Amino acid sequence: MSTYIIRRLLLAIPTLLIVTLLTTASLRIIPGDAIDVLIGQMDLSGKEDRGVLRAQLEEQLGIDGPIYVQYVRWWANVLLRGDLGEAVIMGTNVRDQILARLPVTLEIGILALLIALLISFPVAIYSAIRQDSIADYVFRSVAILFISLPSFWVGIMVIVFPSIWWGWSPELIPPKLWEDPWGNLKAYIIPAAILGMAINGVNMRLMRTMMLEVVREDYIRTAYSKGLTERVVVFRHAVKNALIPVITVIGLNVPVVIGGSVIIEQLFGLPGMGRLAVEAAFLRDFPVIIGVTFVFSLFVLLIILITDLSYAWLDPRIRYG
Amino acid sequence: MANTGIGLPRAIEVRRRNPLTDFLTRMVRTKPLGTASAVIVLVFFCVGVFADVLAPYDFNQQKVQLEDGTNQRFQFLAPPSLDHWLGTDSIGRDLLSRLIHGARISMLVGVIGSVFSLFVSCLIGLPSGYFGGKFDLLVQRFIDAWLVFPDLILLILLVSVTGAGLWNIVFILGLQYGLGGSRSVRGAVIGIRQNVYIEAAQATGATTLRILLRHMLPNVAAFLLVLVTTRMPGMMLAEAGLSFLGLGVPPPAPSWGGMLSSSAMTYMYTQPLLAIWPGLALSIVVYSTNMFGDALRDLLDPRLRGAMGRY
Repeated sequence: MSTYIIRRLLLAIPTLLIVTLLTTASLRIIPGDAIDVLIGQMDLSGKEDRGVLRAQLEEQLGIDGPIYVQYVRWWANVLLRGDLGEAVIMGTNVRDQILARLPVTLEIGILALLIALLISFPVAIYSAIRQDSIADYVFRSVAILFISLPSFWVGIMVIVFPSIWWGWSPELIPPKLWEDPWGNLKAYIIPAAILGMAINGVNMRLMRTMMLEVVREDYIRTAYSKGLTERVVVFRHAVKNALIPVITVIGLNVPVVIGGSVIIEQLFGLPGMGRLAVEAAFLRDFPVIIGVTFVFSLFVLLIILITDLSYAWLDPRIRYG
Repeated sequence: MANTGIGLPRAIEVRRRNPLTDFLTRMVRTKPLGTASAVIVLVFFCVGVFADVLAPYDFNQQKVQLEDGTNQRFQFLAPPSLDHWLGTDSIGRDLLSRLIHGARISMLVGVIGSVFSLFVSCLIGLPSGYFGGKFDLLVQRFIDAWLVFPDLILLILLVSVTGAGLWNIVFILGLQYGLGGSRSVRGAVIGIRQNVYIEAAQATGATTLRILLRHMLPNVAAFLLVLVTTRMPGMMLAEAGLSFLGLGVPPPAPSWGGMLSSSAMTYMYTQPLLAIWPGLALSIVVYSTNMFGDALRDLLDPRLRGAMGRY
């Protein structure tokens, strides 16, 4: 097991190296252009020398010199000082910005995942046991509906219509979790539910398929033929074995949750990391965008690693040598 | 056939039936919902193509010239009327016309984006699956890394570098989905690589390019068609999402997502129709494409049933 963990960790390293290479190289897709835009945005009074400014900016962005030098320098900064660089326009340290915004995104993400799992898991089990029943068809159609509804549209409806009809609107500045847990939850639950809805659609379909495989296993047939009631077969045998698919699904959900939180945070004005990325994209503050992308990718990579390892922990039949 | 009524000529006739009509009949019979969805998608596609003819006004038009030569501005945030069936938006543009032109943008992104993504998928997936070995390993490592990026975050990063714009979005989305899809194409190619006809082609001295294009590609064609229809809705949603954030197709282009952006939200409290129609149109198109893709997958590739794309 421990050799497997080590091998898995070692395999993650090249992936991480390529990820960071792609992000640092992204500024080079259109060389110069990014700098020109930045200079254009800086509202020059005409006194500064453009050439000097360009050199200054290139140094600040870390894109002076050849790309491998930039790349090594970027990693050295991250590894030695835990530093993601300074924002060009937003005017603060990128790491501090991200740390300040991380809890909001985490809270929405975890809430959304919880909501999605609490609904999709029982529905998927029911759909799989009663395959091709009317309820199964209804659930499947609802799943496609959930996938198809754009979360920002649902969010707009939730914000606009209650406000017109009853003068109610979601809270704009959520109180801190440790100061007012209830008020905090009230502010986050609606955005999280809307985000959860989209994931729910994907999960209902994925888990149903996976459950269908579990239901067709030999041990389920054996359990039935022993004369066990359906309740016992489902809860003692099927559900337990369906936990592995659930872990897989959570792993698949995380990138979707991250993408979705960008839109939800923007819509509800929540100060999370996704919103930071959008603000930075508007200002073309590249160190911030690269920092956010790096942290999110690192997070996804970690989740993939954890899901892989938890298979072995959950299912004794899986043993990694 | 009608006058004999015996089995033999009929059997011959069945064999000669056009595979396309055969497929369409099967689809109408076994997948009524999927067929209805396909028709809806087709309708929206035609609306997109003929937007200039169908729309009563230009999507950016704010005034109309009267008979006496003077201009009359459209009313801002007007309720539905005979002149403007769905009313007007905050700067007095006809909502229906903007919706119709929005279909063009969505369809452009969906269709051209997925065709481009298909090209990328094949370009990478075909050789990666066919050659295997070190080349495959290297390519797959790269794809692994690429897939670690959460979709929307990567799109934001790329858009912030290239700038917003319709063709930039199509290119970026096509690339993003194409790289993801190359995994599936590779899997399909590995599945048919062991077949005897590939070996036969190799034995007769066919070039690698010929084997890839003439023997591999037609055999994964059905699979590719399914791949395209499952990618399309995701792309249309992603474009709308980016436009909603203000990082997609820049105004005044009438993207459905852009019509729902936060700056437009201010006016929805006075004219709620502005909030309903663009979202409804987008949802109907995406839902229909999803249903159509599902039906197509069931018909063409039963092995894939229940498998899902990344959205």
